[in-house]
Amino acid sequence: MALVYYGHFIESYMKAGSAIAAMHYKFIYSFHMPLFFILSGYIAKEHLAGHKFSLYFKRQVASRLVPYAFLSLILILPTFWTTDFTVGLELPTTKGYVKGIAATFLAGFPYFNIPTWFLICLFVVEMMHYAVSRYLTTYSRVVLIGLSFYLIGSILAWYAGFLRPTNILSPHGKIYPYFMVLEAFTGYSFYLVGVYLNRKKFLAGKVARHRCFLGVLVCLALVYYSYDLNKGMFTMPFYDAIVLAASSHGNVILFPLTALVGSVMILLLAKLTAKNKALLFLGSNTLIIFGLNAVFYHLINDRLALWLLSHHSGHFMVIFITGTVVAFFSILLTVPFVFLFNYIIPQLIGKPKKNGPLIPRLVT
Amino acid sequence: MKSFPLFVKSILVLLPIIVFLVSYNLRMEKQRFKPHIYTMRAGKELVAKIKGDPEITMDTAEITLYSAGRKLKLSPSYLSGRHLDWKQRDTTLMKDWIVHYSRMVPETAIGLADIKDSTTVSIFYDRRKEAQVAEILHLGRYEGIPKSLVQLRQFVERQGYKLSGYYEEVYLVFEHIEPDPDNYETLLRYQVSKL
Repeated sequence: MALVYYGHFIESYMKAGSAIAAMHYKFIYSFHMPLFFILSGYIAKEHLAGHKFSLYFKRQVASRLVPYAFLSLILILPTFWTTDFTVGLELPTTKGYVKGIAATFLAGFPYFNIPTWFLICLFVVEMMHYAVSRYLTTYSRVVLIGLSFYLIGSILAWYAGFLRPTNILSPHGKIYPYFMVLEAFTGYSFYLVGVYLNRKKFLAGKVARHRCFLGVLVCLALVYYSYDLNKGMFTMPFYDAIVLAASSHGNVILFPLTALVGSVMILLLAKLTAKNKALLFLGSNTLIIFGLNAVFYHLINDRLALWLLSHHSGHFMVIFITGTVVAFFSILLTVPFVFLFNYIIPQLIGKPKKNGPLIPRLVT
Repeated sequence: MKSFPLFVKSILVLLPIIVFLVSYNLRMEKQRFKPHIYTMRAGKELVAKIKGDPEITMDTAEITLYSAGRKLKLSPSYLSGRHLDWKQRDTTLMKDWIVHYSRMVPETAIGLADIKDSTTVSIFYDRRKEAQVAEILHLGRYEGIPKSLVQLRQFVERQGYKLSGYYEEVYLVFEHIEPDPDNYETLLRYQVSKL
């Protein structure tokens, strides 16, 4: 979660013209979104074949699509008084709102809350998992199916540009029901890595701290020396980095390798800090903190980065420290809202089984 | 509502959505060729500055920027040709035009490796600032560009704007990827500001 906040602020530094920030961005983006898919697979339920599809569908809608809709709707509000919102959307105009709302709800492209593209993609990935899970009977099948999905995803990412939801961004971009299907293939391959690690009981039980720490250092070194080897080709010429939302992966071999090593690094780090209460709180409220990042991503980061960059040297350490501080305080600012939403409307922020004072539970 | 079978309910929900999407996309397709004004974001570019008749300099620019892209391991990007002053097209002889041919690059692109300026081409990185632009998509031969520009200028005037900076052509579909000149697609842009 911290990486998302840091990465999105660093992106603003990059857009303001910092080459150093662009390298930080490339480093983080080399693994942080695949990690989310791996984590989702790691905690996914097994034996889905025994579940009725309608019930599974309803649960996933309630825990993924309802928060997606809610987080998009609350981010529409600020657009009434700030115009400089997002690429390709003229706000506040009727034309702009029609495009933004249609893209959000009919195309699964969250114009008003870009970071939540992941929820749509995860929903599609989970539907794929429902269809495929019955065939995941052995480890080798998990690997084989994962590789197949990765291969299909990579081919589609480059050759099926018409499926790319970022097509909507151009001034006369057309709206089709994309729903992140294009990226869901690659996303599912990482999801299956999580399923595999879970079955192998990776990091389950006790692991010596010094081994974890050593593992983190090794992974960090590997990511550091490999992330910039991926020179593309990227689908967005102005982003020399992996951007899953735009199906921009770069090199088909280097991309998954760095992504896997980086993800293992974070998993090991999580193991090391498993008893930290603050991190546990963040972990149990990931979805809402993730969704609220859009407030900073759309409204604050660009202006703040531009201002900061005009007041400091742009040195590597200054970028890193200011990025970390901004990410820390941004997360801190979301905490009251996390408590508030958890109390009033837990069903709308990914906890559909909870009863709330305003809305009853959405699923049983 | 409960008495309706599921597929009837689905059709009732999906039909208006489909109708909306079809009509919206048809409208967008029509508007593709209509002029419009928007804010273009800032970005970094690799520029090849060349003086001369674009009939000749465009080929040089294409080769220069393509080979530079290969050397610097840049991902594919569109080629554009920019006149820093929009009046150049009207007031200067074609052989004296100075055009900044460019392609977008990421912020991580900083060095030029062993790429050097030649007698006719100077190559460098530049940063395009955020600007308001008026844009029209020109379909067909380059000879027809002046006619599209007249249409664009009239639109700019009608909207209460004036031309205030550069003029730019972005070659979306051009001779190297499309043999038939009638199918070329070129974005024409003027930097504009409010009157």
